[in-house]
Amino acid sequence: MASVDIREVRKAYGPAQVLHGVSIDISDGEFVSLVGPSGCGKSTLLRMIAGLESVTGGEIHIGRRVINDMPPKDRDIAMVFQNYALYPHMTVADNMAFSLKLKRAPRAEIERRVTGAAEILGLRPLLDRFPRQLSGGQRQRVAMGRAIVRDPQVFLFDEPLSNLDAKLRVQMRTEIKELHQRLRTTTVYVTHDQIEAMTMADKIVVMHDGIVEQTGRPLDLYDRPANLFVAGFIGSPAMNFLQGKVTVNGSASFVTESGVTLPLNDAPAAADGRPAVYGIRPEHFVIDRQIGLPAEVIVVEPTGSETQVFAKIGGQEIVSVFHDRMNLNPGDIIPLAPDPRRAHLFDAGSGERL
Amino acid sequence: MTEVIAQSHMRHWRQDVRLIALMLGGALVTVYILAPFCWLLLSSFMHEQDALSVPPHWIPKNPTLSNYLSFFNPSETRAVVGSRAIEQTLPGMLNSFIAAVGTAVVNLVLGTLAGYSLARFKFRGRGALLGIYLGSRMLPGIALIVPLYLTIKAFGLLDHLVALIATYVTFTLPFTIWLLKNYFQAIPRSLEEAALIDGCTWLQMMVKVLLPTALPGLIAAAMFAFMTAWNDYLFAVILTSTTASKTMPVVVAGFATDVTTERTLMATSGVLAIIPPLVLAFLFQRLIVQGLTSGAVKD
Repeated sequence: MASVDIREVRKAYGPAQVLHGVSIDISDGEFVSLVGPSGCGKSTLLRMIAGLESVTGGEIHIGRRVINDMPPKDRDIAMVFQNYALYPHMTVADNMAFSLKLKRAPRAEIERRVTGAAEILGLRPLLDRFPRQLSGGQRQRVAMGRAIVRDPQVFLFDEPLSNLDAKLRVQMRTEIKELHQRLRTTTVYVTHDQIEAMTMADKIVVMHDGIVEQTGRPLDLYDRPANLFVAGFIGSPAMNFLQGKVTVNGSASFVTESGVTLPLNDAPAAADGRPAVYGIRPEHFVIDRQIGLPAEVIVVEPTGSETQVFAKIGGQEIVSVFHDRMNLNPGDIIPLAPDPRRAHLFDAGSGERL
Repeated sequence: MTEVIAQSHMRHWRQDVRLIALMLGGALVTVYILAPFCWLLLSSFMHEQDALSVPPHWIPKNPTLSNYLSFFNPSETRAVVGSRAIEQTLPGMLNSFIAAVGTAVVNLVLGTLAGYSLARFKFRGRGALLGIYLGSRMLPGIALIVPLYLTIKAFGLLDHLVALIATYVTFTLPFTIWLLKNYFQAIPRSLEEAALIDGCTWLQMMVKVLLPTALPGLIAAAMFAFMTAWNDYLFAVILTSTTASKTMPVVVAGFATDVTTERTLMATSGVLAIIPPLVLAFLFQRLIVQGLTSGAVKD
């Protein structure tokens, strides 16, 4: 096992700059998730760690070694691909043993490691099958088995669950997390699914347009997003944003463009009078006849465990989530009150947290 | 109710008619393809008079193996005409085999390297190259005969198997490159990347992962090259003159001389010429059909 240190890494394809100086510290044994929308550079960065893409600038360290120009085979990493990339002409056992055979590991050692990995992943009865005879979930497990047997310094996962159906994805998510808790191998996990990142990772790196927007523990990102992008990307349904101005005379408050006044616990004095964005998560609304603002219900979506209510406050659409069953109809007016302790303020120009 | 039953009967009847028509059509096509071959096969077991009888008949009256035996004891052969052809049959077969296997091997080596490069790398002139390869297929062989003959003569390679192999490669390689390029493109790159991460050098990756995965494509390409070389008459008749390089089609044609034609012997040599490709087809049929790539990645 080893730490991974990414320092000011850049990537360009000709004139097109894809990564603009990315720095990430990954401690030994940590599970780090790179998350972001398509084209943000997360997969490119992972492939650079793997040695499948060249490094245009900066340094990547695994342990104490700089690996910028090292071929993939010498980096002591294992990678699980989105499409599994199993060798179609080899059995499950041979797929898993392949890297050890290349290293000329003793036969008994190979045997021991392959059966060990197969045991962990529940692949024992499938060892003699070919990939084409397996289901999607089984293939995914073989791909992980191939990574495990190598006992590498770092695991790299490139959107490994995107090709699975929803139910299997949730199951495999738990399995991968459990596996990490058991093996404690440093893991870099790329996904575009923020729920996957939230549930699995020790640390999340949110990327966007080739830069790191924020790095932190999942709940820190959720509770204190550094900017509008992170605030909007982490959390589902997404945070509500309302445009307006901050006023800090006596008690702080926020006035939306349509003139609705929203409560604030406090705001930096410097923000007074500045155009800003008021962010509030859907679950941070309460229905309160005393302080609530009149909101017109547009759509009600019950999911069983919770109810999502889409409504309009002062002409602006917002979504709120309640854990109770709500007996509401479109057109109803409900008194919605945002919890001022949970409100987020962002600068309207830079998008940075105020 | 009865109407419904009647309709259902009607439908079944229509389906039956359709099926019968399809089977009849299939049978006709089969007969069309196999009849000449059957005639060849049956003639090879006939005596010459039998084969020439009027009206002609299919089943040999007194089946004989003498035609086949004469190929293995050329000195004792009864035929005056075509005896030279008889002597040349077995060497001809060996020549054909060497030329065909040589063509297939060169096609595989060059086709794999070129096909892989064209499938995986983007470089200036890539599209133009592919266009030229394809365009070269449109030139009829006969148009090239004279310049080709002169070129090979200049190299001093007339009546030499190397000349034949070189000629066949020029005509088959463009197609092989296209075929393999498309085959490699269908193999996900992540398979190569997985192999590189697993510890392969580029060469190991090719030999241990990519080529085995592409095996059905490689075999299809090799079979195509083999058959083209095996069946060629035009170039062989121009470029060869003795048993040093004469191939089967040229030898078989030798049974028809200005004086007369030994039909049964010609038929027999035809049957012999069919055996090697037939054996190869049976050997590799399963591999081609197997569909090795399924299951490598999520479909």
